[in-house]
Amino acid sequence: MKKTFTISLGHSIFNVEEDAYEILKRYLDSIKNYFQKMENDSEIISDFELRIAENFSSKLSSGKQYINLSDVKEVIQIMGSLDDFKEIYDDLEDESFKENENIRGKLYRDSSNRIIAGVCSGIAEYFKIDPIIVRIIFFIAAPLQLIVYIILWIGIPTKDFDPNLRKKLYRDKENGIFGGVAQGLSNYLKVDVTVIRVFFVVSLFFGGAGLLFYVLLWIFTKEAKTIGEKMNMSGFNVNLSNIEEFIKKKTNNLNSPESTLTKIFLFPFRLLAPLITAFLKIGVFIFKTMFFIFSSILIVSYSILLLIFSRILFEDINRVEDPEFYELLNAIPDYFVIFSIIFLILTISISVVISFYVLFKKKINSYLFMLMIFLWIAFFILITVSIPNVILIVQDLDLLPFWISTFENNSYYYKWSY
Amino acid sequence: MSSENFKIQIRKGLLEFCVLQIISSKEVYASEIIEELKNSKIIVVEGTVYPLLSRLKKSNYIQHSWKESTQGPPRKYYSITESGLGHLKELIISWTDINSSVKKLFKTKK
Repeated sequence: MKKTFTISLGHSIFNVEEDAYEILKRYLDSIKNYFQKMENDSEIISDFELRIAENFSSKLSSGKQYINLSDVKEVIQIMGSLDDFKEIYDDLEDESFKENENIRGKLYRDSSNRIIAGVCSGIAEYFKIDPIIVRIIFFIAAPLQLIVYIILWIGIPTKDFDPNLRKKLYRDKENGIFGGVAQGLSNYLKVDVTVIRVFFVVSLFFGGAGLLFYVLLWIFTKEAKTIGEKMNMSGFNVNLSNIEEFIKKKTNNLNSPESTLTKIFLFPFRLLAPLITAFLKIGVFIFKTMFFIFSSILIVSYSILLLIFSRILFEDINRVEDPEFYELLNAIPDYFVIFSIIFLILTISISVVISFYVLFKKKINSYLFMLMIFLWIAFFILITVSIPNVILIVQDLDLLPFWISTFENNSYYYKWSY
Repeated sequence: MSSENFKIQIRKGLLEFCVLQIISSKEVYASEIIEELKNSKIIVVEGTVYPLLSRLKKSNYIQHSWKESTQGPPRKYYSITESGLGHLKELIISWTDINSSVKKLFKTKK
């Protein structure tokens, strides 16, 4: 049993099996990309699709009502792959196309694959590596990266890159042992998986840097699930030999023999794998629970502070009941109270957003989030700048409340009285 | 330069000429052009024809019209234009020139 997709192609409708669909889509995408860059003519593609549709129709009969992988393969053979076109039209590629072929040398922000502004992804495209790696480096280099990121955000123009031609780092769980990280890296770097596994194991004995890297990659990379993602793992380019190879690989993987050495080497890890997976799951659960508790405590306490501050701003305190408190409140400048309220509101909303993201993976508009962060930093600075001033005012009036007066012996408090 | 490369270069040079020649004789639709080119082994893969047709149309050498077909969706029929005919004549002249000089070259060598 296989899943099929219904597609419309050149004014006709076809049912295409899943693997055939993935390959066909990729093929058409690559062709579309090529011809659009070359001729900027959508008619070529519609003609192209029309011809493929004709070809497909001739393959269908009452006994066979779907298009399968071998049909697609045949069509690609007849229509030709990118390499065939490049052979014929190599002299006709215009400037923009050459620029695209040779994109290295200019740094762009990648608008087609971005989380915030595409800086990491653009850097990755520049060095021809996976964005995940750049993101992890940025993540580790906190908090310096925020400044660098913003500078790059402002300084670099955007550009769309063709996501199909980009190699992507995935976890290959099918062939992996723990999370398939090593197998995924091996597909990505085209290095034998044993080499990478040995590297990870050896690095355990040198401060465990490899372990950190492994865990980070595990957290940040997606598992390759669909056929398209699996093809992306090793930068799949649609031509016949690649498809053959892919199909062969798919059938071979099920019973590929392992050498005895590999078996011996992997045995302890195979034993440990379910244990570690279970521990990780528990760890994630505990982390999420702790995170939830802490973030709710934080949010609640900030909300209480917010209530107090807004009371100060909007309500009259009874002068007779509590004269000292009243004067203290009058002494605190209004701007300071307003700053504090806005700061608290921002803090609460940012915490809520982050909590939602971590706990439920709910995404928020990244520009809005960045704006909130900017404002938060701005108000933080404003408050820090105005705190000495406020303390001076309160001191001048000799209005420090009792709980500060008890600290009068505190040397740092005396600093302000000079 | 391998013989394979030689073939590719020759085919590449002649592709436009052949396509114009096919269209000039009658109104044809894309699949017919492809069939003829494949039969005479000018092209190996079909996809290479489409960019060429687009380019010929942009230079105003050919035009197209849609016609209903008895089976399946409507088909796009190509026909040659005045300037296309003129262009084809020039191509024929240069082709016969080259052809005869190459032939002459082979005769003298013998």
